[in-house]
Amino acid sequence: MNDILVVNIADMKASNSGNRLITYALGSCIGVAVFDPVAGAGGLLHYMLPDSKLDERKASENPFMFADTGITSMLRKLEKCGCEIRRLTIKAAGGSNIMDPNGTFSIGKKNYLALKRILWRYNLILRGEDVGGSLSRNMTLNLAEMSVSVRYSGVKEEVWL
Amino acid sequence: MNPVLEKILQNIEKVPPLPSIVMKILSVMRNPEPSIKNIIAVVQLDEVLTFRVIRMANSAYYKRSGEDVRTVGEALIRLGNNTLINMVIAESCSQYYESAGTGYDLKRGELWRHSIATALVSQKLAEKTQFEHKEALFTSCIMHDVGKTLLDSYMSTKRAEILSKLALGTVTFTQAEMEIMGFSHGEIGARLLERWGFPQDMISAVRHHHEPERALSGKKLAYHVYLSDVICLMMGIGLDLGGLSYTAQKDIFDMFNLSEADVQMLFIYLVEELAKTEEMIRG
Repeated sequence: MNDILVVNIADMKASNSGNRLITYALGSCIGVAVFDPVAGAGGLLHYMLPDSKLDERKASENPFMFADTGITSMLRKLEKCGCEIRRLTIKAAGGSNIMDPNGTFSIGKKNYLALKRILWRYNLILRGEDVGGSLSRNMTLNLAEMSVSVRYSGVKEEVWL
Repeated sequence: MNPVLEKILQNIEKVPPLPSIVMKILSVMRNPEPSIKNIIAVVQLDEVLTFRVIRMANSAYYKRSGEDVRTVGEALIRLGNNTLINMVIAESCSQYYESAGTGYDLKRGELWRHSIATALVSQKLAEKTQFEHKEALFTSCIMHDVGKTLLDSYMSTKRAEILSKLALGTVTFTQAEMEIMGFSHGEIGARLLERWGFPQDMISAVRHHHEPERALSGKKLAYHVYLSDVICLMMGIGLDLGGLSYTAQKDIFDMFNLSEADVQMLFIYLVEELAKTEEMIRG
């Protein structure tokens, strides 16, 4: 049994030793799981806001608060672990929203759009996603199997991305 | 009457009484010129509370390189009125949350963490909106989900039904509660606060914290609790099987003159403040 690393809110963990990385209770935040099967390494990011322009000082203290600085910092860290950006598989989950046809609290949606925009800049695409709706998700990156799964709150079954 | 509701109302009778200091603080702070001395005097009568207040003042964040604090009066100087009062309220109320949450698919302690987080972010929001009754707001936030503690074991039997309603994506958690149980967790919390003799505006804010437009007295208080709760849920703090299945209040930004960037700044404030407060409570 390999170790389980818990990724908190506004946090990222990377590993190259076959661990399971897990993050709990994704609401409007987004979990981004990234792995390079050749390097046998990967990381899980749990960011909460779309754009570091909101507060650049905070972003320099903790880049994992934001989509843009969070993803950039994660990719740099993974490159140091021997990953190559072109080989990366990327999957995302979360980005839930309060029920609102008028988009009053659309941080979940903006978090998702920010993710797509940043990945496009790196010439990367999402290989799997489970995003939106109004429910709570846990997300797991299993580096021994190179698999990503999501579990909804109150439900036993895992959904494979 | 609904037999389940009757049973739960009977259980309300068995809830231990609210420590008297909470009402004392609320009544002192509603005075136009509140006397902190009165509150200190009551804290000093309680050995456990005194110990905890002093321990908080000596926690790493507040102590920095200062001397050890030895009295409640010295703790007040270090923590400030607002923090000291809020921490006394929190310490007095934590007992009601000790084992609750598992019925809602929360880890032990997570419902309490959600209550603290909601209360913390409410204080920053109140600064922004210049809302005056900060202690009433803090306490209402601490208590907003206390109904869930009384519904915990019943909820574990109704989970599947609730989830199948929510899976439709069009039913709010409150509507699901009403259809399946006939009452909401806000209602149960409000009944407990009524029994404890809380002021009407706070009872109303707890009862309607997911539908603040229905609060008849203290609408502003109810909207503050609502927004503080929603921010925590969006951040995933205490996010349970109900998820974000609640309706948005689109007039709330105009009502408080807030922008979405203001709300996002509250996310940042909370993630830092919660870490600090958890460290302080651990001592």
